[in-house]
Amino acid sequence: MSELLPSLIGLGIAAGYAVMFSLAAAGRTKGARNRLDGLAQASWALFGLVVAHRVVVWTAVPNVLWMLPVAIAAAGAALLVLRWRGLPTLPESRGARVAAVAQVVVMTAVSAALIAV
Amino acid sequence: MKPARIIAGIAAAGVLAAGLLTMPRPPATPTEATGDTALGERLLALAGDGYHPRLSAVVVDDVSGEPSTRAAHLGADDGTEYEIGSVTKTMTGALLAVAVGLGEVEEGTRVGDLLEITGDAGDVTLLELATHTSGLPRLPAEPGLMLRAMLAQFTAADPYAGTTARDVAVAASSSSVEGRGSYEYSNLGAALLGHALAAAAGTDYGDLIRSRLIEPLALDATHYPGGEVAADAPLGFTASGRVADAWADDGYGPAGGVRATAPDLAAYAVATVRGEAPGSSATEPRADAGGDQRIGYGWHTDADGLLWHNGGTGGFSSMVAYDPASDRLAVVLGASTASVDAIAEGLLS
Repeated sequence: MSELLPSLIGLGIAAGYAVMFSLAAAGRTKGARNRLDGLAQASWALFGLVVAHRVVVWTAVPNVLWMLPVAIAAAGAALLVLRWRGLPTLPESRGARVAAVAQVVVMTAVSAALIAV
Repeated sequence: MKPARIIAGIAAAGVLAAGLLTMPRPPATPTEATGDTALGERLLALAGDGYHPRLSAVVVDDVSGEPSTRAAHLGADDGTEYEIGSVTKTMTGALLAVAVGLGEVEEGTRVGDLLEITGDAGDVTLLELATHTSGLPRLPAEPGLMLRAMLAQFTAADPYAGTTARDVAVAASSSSVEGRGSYEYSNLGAALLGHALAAAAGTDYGDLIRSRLIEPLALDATHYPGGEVAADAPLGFTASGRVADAWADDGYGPAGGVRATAPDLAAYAVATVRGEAPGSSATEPRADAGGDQRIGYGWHTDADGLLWHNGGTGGFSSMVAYDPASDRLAVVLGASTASVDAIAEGLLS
């Protein structure tokens, strides 16, 4: 039981980020009004998946559940590709550009570091 | 079909394929035992729902008379090597008993007389280190080590990797000594004891334990890595089924660095209980250890006389226990962080 709750929380985090990414990629939120924002959302989804991979006690929950957030993220990736050509490349404001670039760089770097260790 | 849809499909398929490739696949707990049939069935029952990808148990009856040994394994065999973790402290305790017997040190020898230690820690005695009554903390309050220990929960890395005897002495020098004389389990203290004994003998801990304990007992499948393990050394698993790094550092090795097979560890424990191992007097209780527990040089004894020590590393768990009432000894070693204490207790009952 003690391993189940943190595992479900870990899966919830991954699924949550994947859902946010998919909604943003579908244009249902303000998250992906341009390509850079879309990549920022994708980097958060990647981060959520990596965290789940590391913190979920896969001996306590069926490992097939891993594919749930993966499938949602895959849908997000497809939606982002479909909207890609119609999106501007960068946000209009400088602050938004910096914030989005920072999210992409930091979340990707953190994810890569977690994968590496 | 529009090119964008094709690319979108490829992107989705790529993510799904990556997900399938990286799907966590922890090794399962074996459902069949090898070795002694009755013990194997008991081991399977006691393992229950716990996560034990490899598990070995040795039970010795009539320990003080004519010992009869049985062994059983799940996903392992008599030659499977495990990290025994803090059971190593009993070996370091035995080395203290040997050194006292040789006249190299006394129980009251100050650790500062053997190692370069400044501050209050230098006044701590070897007896206090062996009985966890030194007042030293469980681990030094070093930000770097604390951070590594915290991250190790996440990364399954060895939090002590690369530490040396010198690092332990420096850590002790900067540690506060509080509650001296009262029991407080200290890995720092146990590590310090091992290196102090090595210094008294003019050698290092690895050579000391090999020459004074491992070789005299002919424990051919027991060794102290002291810095690095062989590339093909068996690794354990975290509770989540991830492969954990070996704990092979020399710095905190005297507190938990020995690797052994279950039969070897049982042979050591039986020889110790029978008073035939070097430093067997380490088992004699010498201080209170909280509750109904007493402690000798590393060995704990409860009110019923049960002699025991358990251990845990990043990927292994261990338990050695001897019940004088039944004259039975149990050794259980597991290749995951899931505790094996209850299994050993079950095998004794």
